[in-house]
Amino acid sequence: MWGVAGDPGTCMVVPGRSVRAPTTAQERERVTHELDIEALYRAYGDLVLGRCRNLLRSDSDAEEACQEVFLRLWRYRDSFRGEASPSTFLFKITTSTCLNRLRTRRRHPEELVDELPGGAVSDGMLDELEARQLLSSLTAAEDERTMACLVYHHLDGMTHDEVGELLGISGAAVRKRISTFRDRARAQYDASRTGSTKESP
Amino acid sequence: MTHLNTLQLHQLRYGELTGDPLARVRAHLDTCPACAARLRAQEAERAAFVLRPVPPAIRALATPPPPARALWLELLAGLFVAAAIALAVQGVRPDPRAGAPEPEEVAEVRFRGELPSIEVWARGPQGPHALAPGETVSSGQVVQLKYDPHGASSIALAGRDGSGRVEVYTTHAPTGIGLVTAPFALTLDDAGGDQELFVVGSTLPLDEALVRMAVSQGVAGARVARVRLVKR
Repeated sequence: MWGVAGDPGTCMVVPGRSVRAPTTAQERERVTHELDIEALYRAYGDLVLGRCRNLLRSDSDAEEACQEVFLRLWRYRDSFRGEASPSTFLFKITTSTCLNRLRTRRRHPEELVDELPGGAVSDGMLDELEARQLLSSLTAAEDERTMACLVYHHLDGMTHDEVGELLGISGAAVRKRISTFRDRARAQYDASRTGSTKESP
Repeated sequence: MTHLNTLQLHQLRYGELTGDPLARVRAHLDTCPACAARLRAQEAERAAFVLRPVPPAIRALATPPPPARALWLELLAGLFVAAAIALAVQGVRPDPRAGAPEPEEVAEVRFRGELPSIEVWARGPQGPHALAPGETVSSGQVVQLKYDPHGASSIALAGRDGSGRVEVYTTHAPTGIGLVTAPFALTLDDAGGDQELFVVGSTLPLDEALVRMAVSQGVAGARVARVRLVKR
């Protein structure tokens, strides 16, 4: 990709339009207030795309989700105008968008099989598939807010209070949601292991 | 303090932290290699992102751009983050009063095939290539710098147009070992005269005033490498 050291041979054309990323706090305020969506994309797109990649683990899904986030931003522009921390706002709606996509993906479990690499299927792959199916079934029953708690706490390293502040609930409520999920996960995991032991000759 | 969370790192990059939270985050980064590495990873992601084309779906939503500014170089992306972080930099800095009449060291500019201090990459009909000695550039052409920080912990990028006007593009460009790619590309406009590009390196934090001084007359503790682009 153009701009990445060591691999300048695959240049991506930079659009020639006279549009810049906001370079000052005043300019950032302007694009936020006026919702200059292209300037916002240039300024914050890396945050959105990077998070989509982290959560979705698929470049093509991430590209689509990234565009969806900015379309949502456009749709909910009245909430966004004057936002003191655009990165927080985008962080939240990106997480929400990705969790929705993951939920949709879980409704189509055949995609899990499609994601497996071609060629010989090893025991390790089957174990991985099994683990992912277990994880998928565990999380399928969870509401979006609990999933968000899990992602913010375990993936992003936020404390319970920080997650609560982001979601508008108390830190104690976040702790309880995560704890309840863990109990359920542990029980379901134990049940799945018991089932597979019984099936063994 | 526990590790920084992902959002804090984004907020730092975007200049959204102030006061005590900013001080706490910076203090943690000074002592935590893991979080510093996560921040560098975010910055690298940013550097790779800024040169991607804007998707048509986003462009379709875009409001009409403001009237084009008479900039010789149109900075495409990335400076907002770098500038925001640079504003947050505090502490000891080079003393302009101790400035030497000339740059402490003017690094030699080399072109591809030699050990480079600065490389200028330009997009031509055959794709991107490192400019060769004597090769000219034209308006509308996109160029990008690669530079060797030579151990500097602070890097600033600046330019001077044919009229002598100096622009500081960033005071917080990436550092590293070996050739580092600038986090943005530059589109040449149709202003007259040759364009100079500068890479200013220091082991101390740089700000815009210092960079301007380093480019024009030199500053003790700052090293300046320069390349001149000849326009046809």
